[in-house]
Amino acid sequence: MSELATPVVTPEPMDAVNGEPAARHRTWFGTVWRSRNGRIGFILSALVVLGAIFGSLGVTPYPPDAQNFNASLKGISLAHVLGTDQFGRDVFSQILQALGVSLEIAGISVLIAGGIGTLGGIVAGFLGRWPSALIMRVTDVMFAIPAILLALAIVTALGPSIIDSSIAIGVGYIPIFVRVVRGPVLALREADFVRAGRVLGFSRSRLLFRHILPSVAGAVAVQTSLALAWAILAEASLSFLGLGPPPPTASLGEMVSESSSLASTAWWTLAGPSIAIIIAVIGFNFLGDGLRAAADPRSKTR
Amino acid sequence: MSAAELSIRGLRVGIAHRHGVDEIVRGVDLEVASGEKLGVVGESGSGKTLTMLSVLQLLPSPLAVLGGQVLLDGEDLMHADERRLRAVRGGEVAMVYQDPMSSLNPLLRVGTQIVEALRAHGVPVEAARARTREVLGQVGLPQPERIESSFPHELSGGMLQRVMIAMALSTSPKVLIADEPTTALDVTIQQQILDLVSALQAETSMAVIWVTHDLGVVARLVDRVAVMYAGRVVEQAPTRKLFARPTHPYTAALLASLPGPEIGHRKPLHQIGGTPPDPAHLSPGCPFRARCPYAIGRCAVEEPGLIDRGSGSVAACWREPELWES
Repeated sequence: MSELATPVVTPEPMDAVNGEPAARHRTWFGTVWRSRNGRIGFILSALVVLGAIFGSLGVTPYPPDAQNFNASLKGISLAHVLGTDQFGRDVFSQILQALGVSLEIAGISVLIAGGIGTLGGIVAGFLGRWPSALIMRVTDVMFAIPAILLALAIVTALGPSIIDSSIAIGVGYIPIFVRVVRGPVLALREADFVRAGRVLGFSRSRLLFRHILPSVAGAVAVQTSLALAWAILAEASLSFLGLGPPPPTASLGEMVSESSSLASTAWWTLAGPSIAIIIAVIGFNFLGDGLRAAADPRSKTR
Repeated sequence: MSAAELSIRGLRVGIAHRHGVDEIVRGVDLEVASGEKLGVVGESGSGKTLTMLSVLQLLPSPLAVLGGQVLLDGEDLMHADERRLRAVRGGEVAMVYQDPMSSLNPLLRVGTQIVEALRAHGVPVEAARARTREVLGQVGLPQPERIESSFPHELSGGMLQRVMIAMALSTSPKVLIADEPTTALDVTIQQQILDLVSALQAETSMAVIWVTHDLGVVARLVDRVAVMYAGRVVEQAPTRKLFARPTHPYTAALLASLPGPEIGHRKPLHQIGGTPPDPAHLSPGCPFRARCPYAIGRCAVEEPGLIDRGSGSVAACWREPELWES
């Protein structure tokens, strides 16, 4: 994970003096849509999410696990848009179902990582002293272990099910959230407007929830989107290694792993799930990029 | 002078550490009555801001109040609990500071922030909204409705300082502490802010403490001036008296370094030689003696306390001004 993007969003007021208060304020969505990456990211992520929803609801062209030996290893055609595998199962339907599972695992794991990580980051940043030291040391230790190795270890210990995979992947990303949140909280705690709030007699909880947290929300949103991309990749890696949810449940990594031996004769069986993974990862990454622009308070006006 | 609204007695602030205590504010006495404007003047590091922060007990971490009393309307704030202090901060004692640009939350609309300040002091939402509009109008901002729904970065520095003043005044404080609120503003805006505070004070009869290093501001605004040097008040006098006849060599030197209006025979501005001492590491004797042209033997041995110089002024100097040159 060399592309550990840690956006530190420290809102500073613009020094430009324009006496005319701008009347129109862009929404978050508007700002995301305005950047090219944000637009691409939003469209791709929306496609992935839609596919996942259809897959989970069972709205697929064919039942994903229906075998049809008369139609095994058929290429791309109108009947089977992404072809069939060696058992005659429709690849597209399988991908939709697998996306549903992938996204569920990715979502739960990001919820775990984001929830615990954000809380940890706030505590570490706002309270300071020994809670901070303790949290940061634990984070450092976790950082020393590659997330995917940690996930492997946890999933071997817990066994492969959707929840267990989610926990395994989520735990590995906690430290990133801790760091992403702690930085801005630390900076904001000493920010002039927070001091000013103290002078106005605001309580600590009011300062934290009303003034510090909203300023951190942008950074968390960006990180959530990026973490979703990593989590999908991590889930695919786990199931590629055979540690994903057990067989009847389709999974992108498992599909890639199974079809890799068929690649020379039936390339579409490998291409379909691989491209699905790529689209999902790129989509959430770009969406994160677009959100980063939206998280900056200055880019919301004009 | 009527009874003091806020009085600071023998305030000492410093950092306590293993090897003892570093005192930075070394026994400061100040008083303001309601309706009075007190100026606190001194160079950077003289302890002005620390003294003001101690009033609200908001000293940054290693610094602590080592001794002394802060009385608000007779109530000892040093022994007040956190709840009471929160009510005092921004309630009875409001503060406006140097940099209005960074003192407002960039993510919230200006109006929301004033409403919030009022809500924190128990004002119901509807009343808070009405009051917000009222104070924004009071500080002379055009179209309060528009200002209200602006974000801080959409307003200019002068407008933001007005917003800050509006916010400070919204709770009708008894004491307003202004810590160099005009330093970041240009001279015309500065004048407007000074006029504004004077006018508002006349209406509300609150006490104002104006902290600054600008004697020009002091001359135009306040009734009484306290000059601080190395963590102590070295002279305190009615403004007129202080400008006409300073009784401490430091004050005299400060006044001599003000540019005058005289045209024609321009002489180079006087400057005070040397640098201010570090209040935490003072040698015995008067802290100003190294820079003082009138120092005598006694100054190196014993630090003078405040000595009465008549007509309401006191100075911490061993020498009568009449004898300075001898």
